[in-house]
Amino acid sequence: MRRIGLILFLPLMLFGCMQSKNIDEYAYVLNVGVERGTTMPYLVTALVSVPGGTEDTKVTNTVITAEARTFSEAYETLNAIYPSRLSFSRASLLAIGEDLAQSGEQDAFLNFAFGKPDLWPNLRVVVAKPPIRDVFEGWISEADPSLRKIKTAVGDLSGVSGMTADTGYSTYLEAIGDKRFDVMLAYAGENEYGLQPDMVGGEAYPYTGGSLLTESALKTSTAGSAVFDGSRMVGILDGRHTMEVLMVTGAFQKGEMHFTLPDGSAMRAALYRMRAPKIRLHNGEASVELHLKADVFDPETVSMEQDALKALIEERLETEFSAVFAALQRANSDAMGFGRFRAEQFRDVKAWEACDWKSEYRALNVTFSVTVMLSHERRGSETE
Amino acid sequence: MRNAIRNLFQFDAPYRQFELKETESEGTPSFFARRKEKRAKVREAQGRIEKNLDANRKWLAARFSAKVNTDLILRPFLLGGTARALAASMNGMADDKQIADFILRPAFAVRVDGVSRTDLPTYFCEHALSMHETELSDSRDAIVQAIAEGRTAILFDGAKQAILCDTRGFVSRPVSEPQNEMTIMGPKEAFTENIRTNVTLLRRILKRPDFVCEFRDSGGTNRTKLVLAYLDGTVNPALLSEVKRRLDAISTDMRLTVGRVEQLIEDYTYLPLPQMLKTERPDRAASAVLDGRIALLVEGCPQAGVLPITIGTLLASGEDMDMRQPVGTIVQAIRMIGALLSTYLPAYFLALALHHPGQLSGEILETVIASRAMVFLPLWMEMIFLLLVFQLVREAGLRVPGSIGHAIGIIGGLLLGQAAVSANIVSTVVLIIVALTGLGNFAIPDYSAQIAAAYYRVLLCIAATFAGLLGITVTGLCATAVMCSAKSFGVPFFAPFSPVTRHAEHLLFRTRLKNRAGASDRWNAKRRRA
Amino acid sequence: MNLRIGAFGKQESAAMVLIAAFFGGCFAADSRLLFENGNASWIIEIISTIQALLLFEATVWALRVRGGNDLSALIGDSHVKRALAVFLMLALLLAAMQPLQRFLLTMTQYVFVESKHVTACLYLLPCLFLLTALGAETLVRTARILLPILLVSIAAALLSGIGQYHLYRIHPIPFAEPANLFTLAGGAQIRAAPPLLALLCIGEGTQDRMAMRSAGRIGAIAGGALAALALFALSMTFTYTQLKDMPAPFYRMLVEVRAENPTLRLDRAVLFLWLGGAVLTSAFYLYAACVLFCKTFRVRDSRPVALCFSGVAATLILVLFYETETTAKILEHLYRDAWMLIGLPFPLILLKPRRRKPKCAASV
Repeated sequence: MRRIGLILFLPLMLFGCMQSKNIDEYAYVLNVGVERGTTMPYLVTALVSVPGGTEDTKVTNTVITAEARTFSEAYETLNAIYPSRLSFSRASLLAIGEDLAQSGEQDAFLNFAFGKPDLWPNLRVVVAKPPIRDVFEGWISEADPSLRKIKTAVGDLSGVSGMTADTGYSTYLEAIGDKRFDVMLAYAGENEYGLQPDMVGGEAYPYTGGSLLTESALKTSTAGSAVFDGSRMVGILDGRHTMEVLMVTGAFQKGEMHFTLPDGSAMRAALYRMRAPKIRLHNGEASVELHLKADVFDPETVSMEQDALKALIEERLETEFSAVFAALQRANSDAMGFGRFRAEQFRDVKAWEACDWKSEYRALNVTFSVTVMLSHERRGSETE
Repeated sequence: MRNAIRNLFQFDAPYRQFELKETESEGTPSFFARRKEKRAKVREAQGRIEKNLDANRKWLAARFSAKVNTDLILRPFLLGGTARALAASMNGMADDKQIADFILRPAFAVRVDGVSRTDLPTYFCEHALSMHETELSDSRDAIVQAIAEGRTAILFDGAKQAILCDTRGFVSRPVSEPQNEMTIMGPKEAFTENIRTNVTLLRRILKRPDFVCEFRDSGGTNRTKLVLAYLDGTVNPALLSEVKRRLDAISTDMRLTVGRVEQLIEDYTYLPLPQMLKTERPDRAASAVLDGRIALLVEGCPQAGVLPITIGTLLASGEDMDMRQPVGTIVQAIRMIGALLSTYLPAYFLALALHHPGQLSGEILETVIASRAMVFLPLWMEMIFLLLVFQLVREAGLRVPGSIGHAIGIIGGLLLGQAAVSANIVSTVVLIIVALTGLGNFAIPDYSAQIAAAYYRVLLCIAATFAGLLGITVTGLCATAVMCSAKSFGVPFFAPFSPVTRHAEHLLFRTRLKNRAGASDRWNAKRRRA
Repeated sequence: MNLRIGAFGKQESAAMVLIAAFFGGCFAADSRLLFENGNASWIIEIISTIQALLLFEATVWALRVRGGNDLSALIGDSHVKRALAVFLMLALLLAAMQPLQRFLLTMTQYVFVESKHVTACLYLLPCLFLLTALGAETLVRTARILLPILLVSIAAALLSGIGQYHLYRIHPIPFAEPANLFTLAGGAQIRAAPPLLALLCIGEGTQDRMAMRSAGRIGAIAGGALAALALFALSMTFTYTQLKDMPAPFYRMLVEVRAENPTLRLDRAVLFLWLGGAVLTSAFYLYAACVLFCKTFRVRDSRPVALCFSGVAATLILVLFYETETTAKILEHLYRDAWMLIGLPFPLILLKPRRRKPKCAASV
């Protein structure tokens, strides 16, 4: 038995060494971006973090680019131009160039086998205004070289404020491969881009509300979201409309909204989800019931009665929901995910696959019903 | 073909050197020589002493090589001024004062007129000898053994029996504090080299009539005294007879210790974990005896062997039950975590650093990489080097006298570590991991188990270097399976967890201390707890 | 005889069956086949467990009626019966191969991307052989030791993904044709029946027929329920269209958990912990096949057979790894039609006529 064990152990010692590298022989890719190339179909940008160096600057961040036809080609090219071996295992963000997203050609590129370049599938996917190199460089701040922490804050903010969509790569793939809903991705870019067109009212909205005025400040942020029809980007929603779509999909937790009162003054309220949205779908008619809680800021400045204020908020929201839905319907994007409820009506996979949901969606009538519970303890100003 | 293979692994022809061969001086033994020798030995073992004192004296002198072995004292005297007698004892082993006061002085004073020569031993024993422990024997073997042990044999001219008096008075170490199993709360006594003292130490704790200390001689020429201590009526009789059978099979000329006896009677030679607990604490051995197990004492060895054992025994400390439940649980949990860290941490780190760097967070990566910036050794070599250095420092610290031993620990830990980091041989992170491993290793109470953990640690490190977490999984699974297949004197090593028994005690959480009577059920003891 | 069956208790054998049932249910199946009919794998798992239990109960009943402690007591000496035993051995061999093949695929696709599958297989072979050669007692005791750790890892994996669960993903549930579900569950017997089949093979070690029945019931029900729960969680994490293309859906589920800046990711550690469970499962099946072989063909030592079987299993896994049209076809047949290896011989063994006892000669 021992002899047999030795015989089995021998080939292990001779040929059994897995390919490995020392931890310090890698450079770690944190962000990957893909946009339309000039000489080749795709331009791939990678934000590379090189740990090590001196005690003061433990990390060096560099942006590298390569033009390629496929992802694996880009992977090899990036490796070839960079002196260290690139590891994608710590990548946490995938940026798709707006130009590429609008053409819908990114899928051919992104259809790589998960795992081959050791890419974690739980990447956050965003649409970025090209050139992506600028977007990535805008994230690099000399004051705080730990890019991971900055990105965590950005991700958290999108979750807290509800102003941007927080979509993972798996959800993106799910939306592309399945027709139950269309994906909505956060829209990232440099702060200097100015106004962006909003698909609901056709108005432009300022890209971000402000920027940090220090020399080493971040120049890139995410605001609003890009809406897709399948794999093609069909429009942009500003933060408020993004929040409204998230309310219907059930992804919204809390956020803030401004409402204009009849006397022309503005009112600010914090909104919270009270329970999951209730959606019913039957014979081309859908009804959406939303239950929200609203805390009004600075209540002493609001002159309206509580009941009137509640009715006003409900009415405004219902109108806005209808407008957002109409815009999405025009763009053929089921970002609100009504297809999820259509799929529930099937008891057979083949029948569901044979169903042309998108044409049904174009004829769908939706009624929104919003119930707002105004908090009895109105919130004071944040500065109080 | 054979020559070709031999040549392949042989660098040069071996040079001619002196080799001591059995047959050189005596020539080739005849075909029946060995059998004849054996028969002669049997005859001698069954031999009785002669009536003639001179013949007995000659025999004793020859048996102990008295010409060169000056330790043997053969003191002839006249019993009552008329009967010739001889006191044989071993210098240093027997107490001279006892021989002079309680054997020789009464011998000169006693009157033996009218006593027949053959009745002299009984008469002397009953009327003159003022010694507590005496024995009449005619066996040559018993007499030789008694003299070797420090007793005094009194032989008489014309009598076929000798008196064996207990005059043992050799120098021995007093009972002192345990050196290796130190506790804060428990008793502070340790076993000594004197088997009698050790038995007394046990008896002082186990004051019950069913506590048996069975004295046995080991096989072989040295006839070392062994003691099997157990509770009669509680211990599993099958276990007891199996242990006795294995002890009977020992026939060696080696000096015996608990560690050697363990190796001679254990089942799994190649299992790194011990199959018998070696403790220097009488309270621990007594607890084991109360739990239905057997304690084995060996003459000249300041430790007791406890058998059978399980993995829980090796991870338990003597004072575990002295602590209250919440404190005991914390201590036990920390010890378990320490044991796991000590075994798996270096290998896990190697696996992550070499094969799965994506599993480490960015901050850890940065710290590790920054610490390795100038280190020229590959990571695996660095780790194995440091683990070896750790074992080296530990062994060096153990083998040198107390105060220097502490100094070596400090030199090894501080100076060597600092110097190695400064010389870019090792990185600080790896140093911290090895230090943590060392601390975890010391949390394992049993020394043999510590060594076993070190063995598994190096094995796992090699496996992790080769194949990362796959290597660790495969090695860990094989090690677990081997330990699951092992048994300590018939008791599965992972009992009471696998197989589960009713008296399962948790490895992580200590249970509440309750009144209990009888032994644990995992040894299949005769008298078990309810 | 050195079959190394040994003696073990109800808890250990139940633990072994539980682990085997869970890993068979969750990690042995080919994703494409498992999810081609929608996200109903959890329902199929429940039905197939019930079917396997019925088969097991029938066998235990037959053992009680005819006398005997293990499956080989039911299989007679005739050549036909030996052929049936060979069928069952093949079934066990295939069942042993399946989880290992899936894990090997996972490892080479996601973990050791730059290494060859042969290298990974080289690590599994000695471990498989050692576990198989050490015998039933060791296997079930190792299973009892590993079970709590595996349960904690499974619970942690299922709980950590709770934020990703959405009920809409389980639709459409194919309830339209319940008969279809039963057929699919029958096809899944190559995964559901082997734990109980292997237990029947080593029944001698459980010391008591009733203990074996009890261990089989507890292990299969708990393992099946756990597997169904895990598959349900999986169905809520991914749609069936995604799952069809995933070689290792459970690993994907693990890495789906979003932790922005985790100090230490544990997905690989959990994956390899599960690999340990899969190797144990495979060794259990291989050992059961060894015992069946030794008892049917009167071989006295199980170790050479263990070496042979683990070698064959490892070689087959390696051969089937080379992606050619033929291997793809073979693999599809293995996953789709292997249930016949259990479905055909079992009724024949159970229907064997009761042997009449020879009449005792009348005492004078």
